[in-house]
Amino acid sequence: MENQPTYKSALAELRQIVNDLEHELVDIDELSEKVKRAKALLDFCRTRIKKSMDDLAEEDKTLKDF
Amino acid sequence: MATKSYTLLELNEYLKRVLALNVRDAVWVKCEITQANITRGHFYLELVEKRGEEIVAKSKAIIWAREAVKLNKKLKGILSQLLQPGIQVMLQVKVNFHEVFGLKFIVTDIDPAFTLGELELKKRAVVSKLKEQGLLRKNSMLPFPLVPQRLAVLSSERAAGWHDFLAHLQNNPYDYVFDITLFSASVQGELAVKELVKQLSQIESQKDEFDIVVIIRGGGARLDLVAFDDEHLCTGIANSSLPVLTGIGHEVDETIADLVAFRALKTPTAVAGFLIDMMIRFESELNRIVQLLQIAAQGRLKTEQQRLENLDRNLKLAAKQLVKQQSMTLSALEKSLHLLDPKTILNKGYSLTTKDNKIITKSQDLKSGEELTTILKDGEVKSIVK
Repeated sequence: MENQPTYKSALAELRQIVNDLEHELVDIDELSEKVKRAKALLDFCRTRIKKSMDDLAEEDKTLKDF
Repeated sequence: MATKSYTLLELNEYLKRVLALNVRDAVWVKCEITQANITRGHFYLELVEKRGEEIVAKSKAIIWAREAVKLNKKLKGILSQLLQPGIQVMLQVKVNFHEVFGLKFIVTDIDPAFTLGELELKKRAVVSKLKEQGLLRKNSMLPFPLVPQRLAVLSSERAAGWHDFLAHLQNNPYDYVFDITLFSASVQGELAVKELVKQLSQIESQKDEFDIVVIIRGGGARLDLVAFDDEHLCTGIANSSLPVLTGIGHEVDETIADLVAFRALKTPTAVAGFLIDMMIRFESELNRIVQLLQIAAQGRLKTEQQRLENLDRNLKLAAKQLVKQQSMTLSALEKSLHLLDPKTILNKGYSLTTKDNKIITKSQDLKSGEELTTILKDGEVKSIVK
């Protein structure tokens, strides 16, 4: 993922793409490129959530030890 | 005329006889002690009676060591505390006149109830004075720290209560750490008030280094606690910038120090228990917050996850929809094109007339004798205009 977006910016871009698609603002030429990009953004956001959940579980363990 | 005279011994012997005959039995006398010294177990007292500040009577008295032991036993060990300067006492004395040592009272008994009553009156006077000055509740109005960990302890390093307190805090099963500084002072006897006041003001000058003040002792007889009813000390406690906890006695005693303190606990151990409980409460609150934090964080992540799933679904739907829409547009275009195709028109029976490869649409564009080409569904026909 270029430029390492934040979760927030990735989510905003993803929403924009879905919105553009829903409102037929995307040319067929761009469609597969846009969908590919949206998938990459989705993957990125999911990875972020997964990492946060893992971190939280780890933190939970640390706090219990404390 | 020869004046009748006596030798000193004769006079003193006479006085001794007069006294012995007239004041034969022991009598009870109410007086104030101004001096009390103990030498080889004997108590040497100076007794006075005052009207206001003026001394109107003064005598010396002695408690012989053997008598002192008996009295101390009767008074449950508080004899030396009872015989303090400034204390009103009721003593049973035998009047004794010695030819060499002069007039002395020999103390044979003490009424402790009288002295305690006097002390109680004095105590009430101090309480009402502190009340008038608004000092009774002053210390208890201070904010109490959530985690009282830095303790300035006012006690005697010899007091059993101090050692109980220390042991209880240091051996707490939760491994809480307390930073304890002892400000040592006598907690009973003549020097107690002076030392306690001095150390309390020392603590006040280092107030930023501590969270609270703890005053501990360790029970004992009512009179042992007299220092803790002192007006000066109690004013200092009331005015302390730090909350003061007391653990002074372990009986039914309540001193004025207990009244003016932030909180009075029965014993030094009870003070330690109170402090440990505060730490437990604080830790539980922390744990509760941590749990809330975890629940909130998990909730937030779940929401985000759901949001992503929705976006994923919408993306797929929108992409399919877009493709479908475009296909439909293409089909419509295709249909229009087909309808507009000249072949379709020729197939329907229409024909196309051309001259020199140009389509002729008006009759006046043709002249007689010119050659036309008519395009039909299946071929061309040439003809001449007439």
